[in-house]
Amino acid sequence: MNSVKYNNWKDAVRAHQPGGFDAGAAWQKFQQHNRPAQKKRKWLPWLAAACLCGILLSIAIIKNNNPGTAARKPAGPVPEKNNIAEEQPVQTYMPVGPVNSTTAGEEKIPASNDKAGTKNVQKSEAGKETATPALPVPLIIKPEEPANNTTTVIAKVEPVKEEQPVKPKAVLKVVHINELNPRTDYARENTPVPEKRASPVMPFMKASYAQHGQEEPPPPVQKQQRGVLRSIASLKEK
Amino acid sequence: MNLEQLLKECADEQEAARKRLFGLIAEAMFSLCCRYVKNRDDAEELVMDGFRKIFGSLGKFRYETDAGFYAWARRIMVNECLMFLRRENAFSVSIEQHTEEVQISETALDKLAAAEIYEAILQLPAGYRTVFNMFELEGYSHKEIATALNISEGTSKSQLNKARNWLRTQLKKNEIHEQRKIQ
Repeated sequence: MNSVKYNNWKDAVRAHQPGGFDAGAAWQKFQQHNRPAQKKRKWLPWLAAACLCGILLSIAIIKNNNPGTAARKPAGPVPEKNNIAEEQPVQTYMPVGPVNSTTAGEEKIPASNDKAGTKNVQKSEAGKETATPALPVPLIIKPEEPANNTTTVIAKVEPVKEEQPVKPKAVLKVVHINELNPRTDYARENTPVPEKRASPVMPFMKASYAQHGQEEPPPPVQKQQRGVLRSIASLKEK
Repeated sequence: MNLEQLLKECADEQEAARKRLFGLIAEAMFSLCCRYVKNRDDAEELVMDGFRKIFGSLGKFRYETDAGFYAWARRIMVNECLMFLRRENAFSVSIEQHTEEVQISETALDKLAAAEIYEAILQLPAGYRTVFNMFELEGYSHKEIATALNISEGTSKSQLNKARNWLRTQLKKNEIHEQRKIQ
């Protein structure tokens, strides 16, 4: 029996408990229904982030594996000239020693062998005599060979074919002679049509212009007539 | 621990706090759901669904008073009950033109035990019972009832009148029956 007294029957009915409800069992049932969903919710953002990272990584790998285009930069150090001519040593400044123009590509005399201050005059490829001032022997820098001694292949860059604009095909339009409209006739597309066409002056208007001292408006500009309409016009004139 | 602190912990998804809140109001919510759906198994399922929504919406709920929270929780439960009744097509609301208000003597009802009134309410047809519960016990206005049940205000008033008439008749029968027992 409820010892609590209520002010009115409504409060009493609201507070009345019919019995037969086990709160503990109901809570366990509630947890069983909701727990997997809650766990999934906690894992879901991590799963989404992992999927996104995986997608980005796979895109990056695919891009690296594909043969690159002209716009793409090479991944590792690629020598400027390879497979085309023998590698030439990079010189920091103008050579002062004997330059063997006919044996391009051969290994140059190392700097330690050259005598400093020797004057040598030699004809170059162009035939000019080059004076050799007494300067220290240039440091010849050999290009670095790749560590693996593997040949690198320069990707051939194919010229991008410019897409020629597609010319619209001319459409022949068969029109009955009676349906020809001087404005929309195919033969007259390029004919300029005056925007304002002055209407011909009617006889009664001429009199009114004369009375009021006004000048008659200029006659309407005759359009250029071509083709069929020209022949029709000429027939009319006749 | 006061209710406000408890609600904050429940919003933080603390298991112990949620269990405590469940134990605090679950039975009252069960009693409310039984008044609408009668079947105890259905009422228990509705309590689960209601608490799922309560815990899910606690982050958005702004605590002001304890009574405010209980009213908010009751509204969620009532909505769950109404959705259940709509799904089951359990109540049909007849449209009536006659809308004279019938009053039940409050003193007469106050004399009765809560259990008797509760049982009498459960005997009402579904449509009458829903409107009676919402108006008399939950404090909804006829306009709110009309919106919730998708009926007119006049229909809501007539359903309430019918419910009161029905209850008055039932309670009188019980009174006579009790008097005869005494005699």
